[in-house]
Amino acid sequence: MKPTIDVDGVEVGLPTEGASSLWDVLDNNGIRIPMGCGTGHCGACTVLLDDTPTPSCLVPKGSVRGARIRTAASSALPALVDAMAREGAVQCGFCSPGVVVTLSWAIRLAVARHRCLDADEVRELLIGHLCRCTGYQAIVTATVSACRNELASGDGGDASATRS
Amino acid sequence: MTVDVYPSTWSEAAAHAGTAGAVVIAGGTGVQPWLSVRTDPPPTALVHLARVPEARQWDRADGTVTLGSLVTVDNLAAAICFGTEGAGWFATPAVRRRATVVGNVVSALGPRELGAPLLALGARLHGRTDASGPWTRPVAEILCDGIPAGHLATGVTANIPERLVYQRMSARRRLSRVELGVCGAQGPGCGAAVVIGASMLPVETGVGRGDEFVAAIRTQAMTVLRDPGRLATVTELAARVHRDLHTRSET
Amino acid sequence: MHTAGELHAVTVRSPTASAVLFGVDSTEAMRQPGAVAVLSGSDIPGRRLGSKSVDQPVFADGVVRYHGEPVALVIAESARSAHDMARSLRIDLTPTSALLDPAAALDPDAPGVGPDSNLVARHHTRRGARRGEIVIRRRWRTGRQDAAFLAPEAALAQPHPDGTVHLTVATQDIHADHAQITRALGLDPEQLVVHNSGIGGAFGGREDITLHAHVVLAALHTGRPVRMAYSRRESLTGHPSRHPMVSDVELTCLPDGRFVSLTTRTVLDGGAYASTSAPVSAIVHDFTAGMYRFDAVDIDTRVVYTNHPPAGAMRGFGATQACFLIESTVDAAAAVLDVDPVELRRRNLLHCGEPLAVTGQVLDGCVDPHDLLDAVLTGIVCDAVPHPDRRRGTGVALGIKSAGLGHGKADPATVAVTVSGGQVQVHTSAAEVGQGVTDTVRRIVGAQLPGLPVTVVAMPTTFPTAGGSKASRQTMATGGAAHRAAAEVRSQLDAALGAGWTPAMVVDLGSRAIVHQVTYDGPQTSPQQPHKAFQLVAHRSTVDVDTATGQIDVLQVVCVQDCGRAIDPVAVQEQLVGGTAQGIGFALWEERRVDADGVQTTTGFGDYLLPTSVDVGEVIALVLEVPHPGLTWGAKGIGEGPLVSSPAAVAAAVRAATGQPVAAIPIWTDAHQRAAS
Repeated sequence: MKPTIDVDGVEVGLPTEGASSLWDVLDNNGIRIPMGCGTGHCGACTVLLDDTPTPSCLVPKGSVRGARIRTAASSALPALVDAMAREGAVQCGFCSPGVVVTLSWAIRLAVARHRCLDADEVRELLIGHLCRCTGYQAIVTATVSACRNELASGDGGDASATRS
Repeated sequence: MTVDVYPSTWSEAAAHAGTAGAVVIAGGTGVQPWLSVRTDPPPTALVHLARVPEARQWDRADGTVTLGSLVTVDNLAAAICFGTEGAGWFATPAVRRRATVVGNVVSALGPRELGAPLLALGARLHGRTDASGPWTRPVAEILCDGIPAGHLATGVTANIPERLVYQRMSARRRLSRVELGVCGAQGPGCGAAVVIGASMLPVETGVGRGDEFVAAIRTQAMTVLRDPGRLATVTELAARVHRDLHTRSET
Repeated sequence: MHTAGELHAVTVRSPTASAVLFGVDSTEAMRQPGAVAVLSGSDIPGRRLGSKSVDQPVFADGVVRYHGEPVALVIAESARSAHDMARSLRIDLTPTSALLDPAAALDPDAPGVGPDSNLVARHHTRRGARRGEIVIRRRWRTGRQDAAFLAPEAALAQPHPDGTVHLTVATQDIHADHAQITRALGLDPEQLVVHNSGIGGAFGGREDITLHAHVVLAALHTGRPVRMAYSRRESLTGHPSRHPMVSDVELTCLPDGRFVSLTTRTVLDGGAYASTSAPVSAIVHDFTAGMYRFDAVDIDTRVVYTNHPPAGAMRGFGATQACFLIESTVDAAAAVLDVDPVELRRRNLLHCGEPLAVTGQVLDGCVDPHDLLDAVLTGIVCDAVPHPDRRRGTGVALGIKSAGLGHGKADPATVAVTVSGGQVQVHTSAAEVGQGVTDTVRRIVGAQLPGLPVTVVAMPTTFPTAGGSKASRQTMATGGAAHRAAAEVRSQLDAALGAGWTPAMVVDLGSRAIVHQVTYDGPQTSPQQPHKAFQLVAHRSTVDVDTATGQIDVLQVVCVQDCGRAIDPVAVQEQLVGGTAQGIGFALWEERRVDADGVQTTTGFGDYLLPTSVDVGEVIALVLEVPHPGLTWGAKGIGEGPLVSSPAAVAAAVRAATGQPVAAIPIWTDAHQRAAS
């Protein structure tokens, strides 16, 4: 049986030889994730790996047999995406998918604990994501705002929710 | 032809690690970027430790903590390396979730940031070879000589400190190589370490008297450092470490 | 972007800064599985690139002039095979003596790097002869900042059955690229069509040809689609950096602080090929005196060839270096006179209506510099108590740059506006690099055609040029064209439907199309009026500096810029914050390091240090609107301003905190390079 991963609900085969990364596997299967540095500094290639934000360039393909991968396509929190558009937090957009993966995850966790992220926490969460365009401020504002809205919307959200 | 292998015991893992061209994968965060751009011949095997149960275990006994080689930097058991400051200065949150304490200290590819705290904690590295079984060496030796080719690191044992303080000089506060650093830990079997560029040196000293502590750090630093400006910085960092080890306030 | 059947190409680059190049041996490379072809200088002799001076060979041709210069291209069936080929390609070269000191570039015995001499350009302006009793002399240095846009270079070149090649690439100017590629490869203009892909940031780093000619050449040679993608490491060497500067400055003044004369001798390191060195040096020159009044100036600005990696466009385009030069000098004068630096500025700043000291052009169409200074001083300085191990300082810097190309250069943009089926389409080839030109154009057109949905359609080189997304020009150029095209469409709608038309009435027009295309180039500039508009900007920065380590924490930066009119206020705000963050990076850490042999040692984001989310502090952006009478909606370009005065302001704050002279930026990297050597 060939080893596989589940990417956004679709089964993708893993190569059994070579030294490729999770990012390489996704790219070779037509799943386009931004690649900014290949060394884990910029976070552009971030995906959810077993529900945890992870730079896919740092993960050997042999480490993820049977894992569940969610990209921004299936894990983005709509309230965050909307808030980022409103606040001008997307300029070139290259860092955005990775940022959205991490911050959507964080907002869901916070909401599940009935609390809101504050600006300092969001800045800490953004360590590991580089943005060259925005200076981060609008991303922080958008995230706090989206978290507040999610809490206020009452249903609390689901900490592990992704559209699968 | 690089194959993934998944040993389920230390013995199997050591056997694989001992074969020519094998690369051991713990967290993988240091190794994968190198694998992606390497210029040498490809590895023959990637030895994943994920299925060795002992690799994930950690243990407390007799004032020490032992971490298996898959224990990640963000694990509570690894918190002894970071004092009240916490692990925020180490890499990124995502990397902390995957990088391992043992992997960090044995990897020749990376900056080995945990070398200084582990030296201050009097840590010892456990390894083994296929041929001659387990061994234990001081982390100070490992930081100097690395682990021999074909050997496998299985864990690290460190003394549990009452307090640990690490003062560092780096370009940015986060995600920058430590250019100069002093780490001091208070407790049985603990001591200090000084970082000067790529050199990480243990300093055997009590942390009781400030002047003795600073003098000991300075003496060790002078074995590799001549520049008076940088020596002055190391001296000041040592004074701060001593101060912070003895104040009640939060860091 | 990918396509079926694509080949992959990888550039092979020189390992040394200066060499005689005999050729490449492709035997080993062609033995690699998947190998298709190897191309090098001998395949296209004499073919050159260059946006201003056409001096850069597509591949090094007999001579290597910088570390990282493209020597060959390997083409393979897969990216892995291409990298294996690249590793096994043998380059036959003999290193020669490299010219690495810009100060020595014009010495008679300096190695020759440039085509005629080692001088790319020189500007000299001399006016008046008065001198003041107080003499301040300083040397200022700025480093090698990189655009470091987050998406590394990538391109796809596809041959089409009709004999054309279509290139899809992220670039600031598809038409300028088209002209360079067709000229360099000897193609008919109709043979190549260039499409802009989504652009992951630019900041000037996508103004030059990097992989474009290589990938098109590969597609022509193989007859197959070819893809290229740079790694971060290759990107950090593959496009030009900001020009490093060394400037010797003398400012004289009266005892009461009034400035009398300014003398500068500025040398910019242009690296191995000219790129945009000539216009960059012109901008450094024009704005060397900032916005200060001088009775006499003697300004000499030159840019030279060296065997360093080429320097070219980067946000600020010389105005950043000029700002550091003059603002640091003013701070030094304040220290000598024992006067508050802000007060000294007040005493010497021009008012609108007065001539700028170097060009003599009247400063107008903008906020008064005194009001700008007042504005940047407003707002709360952070009042949290500093940590006992740190000292706090606050510094101010004022910046000026032009917007638009200036100096009489053609600066056109073409836009077509079409109304059909109740929808508006705007056709433009303006590059959306993330700066927001698309939304700006949508608003400008929408203002003329209220209630109708507006879509902006990005066009390839088959549509007329918009000029580059550079020089803070698109709001004026493409915005100006869009405004005029929409205005004409509006009057046609008014004529057809009556002046009070409603969107429903436009829908009822059905598919009948009203189209108008405008090419706009204005306002005009001339030798007497070299710049069409000015970006005036100011920063106030507060930092804490560790007394033992010298580590710098930026607590707060206030950024004030006059944008004329904020067409898209959120976007303007974002430009101010984002550019300020880049300025913090340049002030503190950002440097493409080159060693004593001219080899670049910076290879990734582990050593090219960008500000992270916790490095930027609190950025307070204040947008001023002083409409420019000659511009559409009074709006001018603003993209570069935020990176003009931010580095100088951070340096000024560090001076205030430490009493150190801070003679060079980036501060940390410079200090530690000096300590290490």
